[in-house]
Parts: sequence; C-alpha cells; structure tokens
Amino acid sequence: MLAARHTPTGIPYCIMTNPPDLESLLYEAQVSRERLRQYIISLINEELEFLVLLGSAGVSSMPYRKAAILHQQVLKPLEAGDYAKAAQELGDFLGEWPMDRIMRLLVSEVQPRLQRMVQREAEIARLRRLI
Amino acid sequence: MDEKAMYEALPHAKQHEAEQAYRRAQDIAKDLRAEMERYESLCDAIQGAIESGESTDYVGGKAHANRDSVLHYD
Repeated sequence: MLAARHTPTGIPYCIMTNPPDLESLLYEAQVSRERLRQYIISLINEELEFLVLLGSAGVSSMPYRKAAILHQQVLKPLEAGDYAKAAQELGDFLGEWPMDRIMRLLVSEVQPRLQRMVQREAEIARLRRLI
Repeated sequence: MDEKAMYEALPHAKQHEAEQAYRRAQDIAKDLRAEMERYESLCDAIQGAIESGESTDYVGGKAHANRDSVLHYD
C-alpha cells in the first residue's frame, strides 16, 4: 500500500507500507459488523417509537400489534446476533402490513443489507474452509 | 383505518414527535449506508487476503470462525 508523507521542508512523497494483515482486517470487520447491528437496532427502535405514537391516537390496536411483532420477531433475533433470522423475519413481516416512512427505510435499507451481510459472511466462511 | 389517518388523528405535538422520529431514522440510515460501505470494503479485503493465501489458522485470542459470525474475534 502507498502512504503519503512529507519531508521536513514540506515536499510530499509516498512510501510503500505493508497491507493490513488478515487478523487486523477480521477485527475491523467485527467492529464494523457490531456498529451496523447497533444502527439497525436504533432504526427499529425509532419505528417502535413511531408505532407507539400512532397507537396512542387510540383509533386502532394495529400499531401496537405491529410493534409487538417487530420487537419479537426482528429486534430480538438481531439483539441475539442472528442476522439471518432477522433478515428473514423482516422480509416476511413487511408483506403483511401497510408501510410508514420509517418502515420503508427498514425495507429498502435494512433488509437487503442484512441479507448482504449474511451472504458476504457465507462467502468468507466458504473461502476459509478451502484453506 | 390506515396509518396515514391514524397519524392525522394524533394531536399536533405527537405528530411533531413522529416527525422527529422519522428525521432521526433518516440520520441513522445515512450512517448505516456509510458503515455498510466500510463493511463491504473490509469483506473485500478479507476475501483478497484469504485468496492470496494468508493463513487464518490463528491460535489463542486471535481470529477464528464461530457459530454466530465468521468474522468473530476474541
């Protein structure tokens, strides 16, 4: 890898550095994965808050039921680190309800990304088994 | 009754809270996109390192696969 440096008089130059080793990359990916999980949990919590607000209008119990299902079937697996189950349940869950704006974010942003994460990790696991 | 009608049935202050929840969600989604790009890059780099033949056979507090994550690191 190339890294930018400057001489004491300010002249830029490049040096070759070693690429990060696999151990460091795995550690960074684990940290990133955890950050992603926290962002997704935060998004779900915003949706739960929104649903509780809607439910407080008192005209239907639907938002509360929806919140309970979202909490039980998506948030709990995610909190337990089960990304595959959370992605599957989110996909199954979404077809059953009309979507508000936050839920649309969950559909368009979170569900495909969870699936993508599961897919990438499966690819990496396969490669590691081949070694 | 659909969700739009429920939203409109909320008192004004509650509608404001709902809008704030949506704005926070948009900010989180923005961070999520950036982090996902970083995660994808790291996965690319990991795959590249594995394919180039670097061993993943570490011991004692090092990287290894586990049930929950192939990226697990102690």
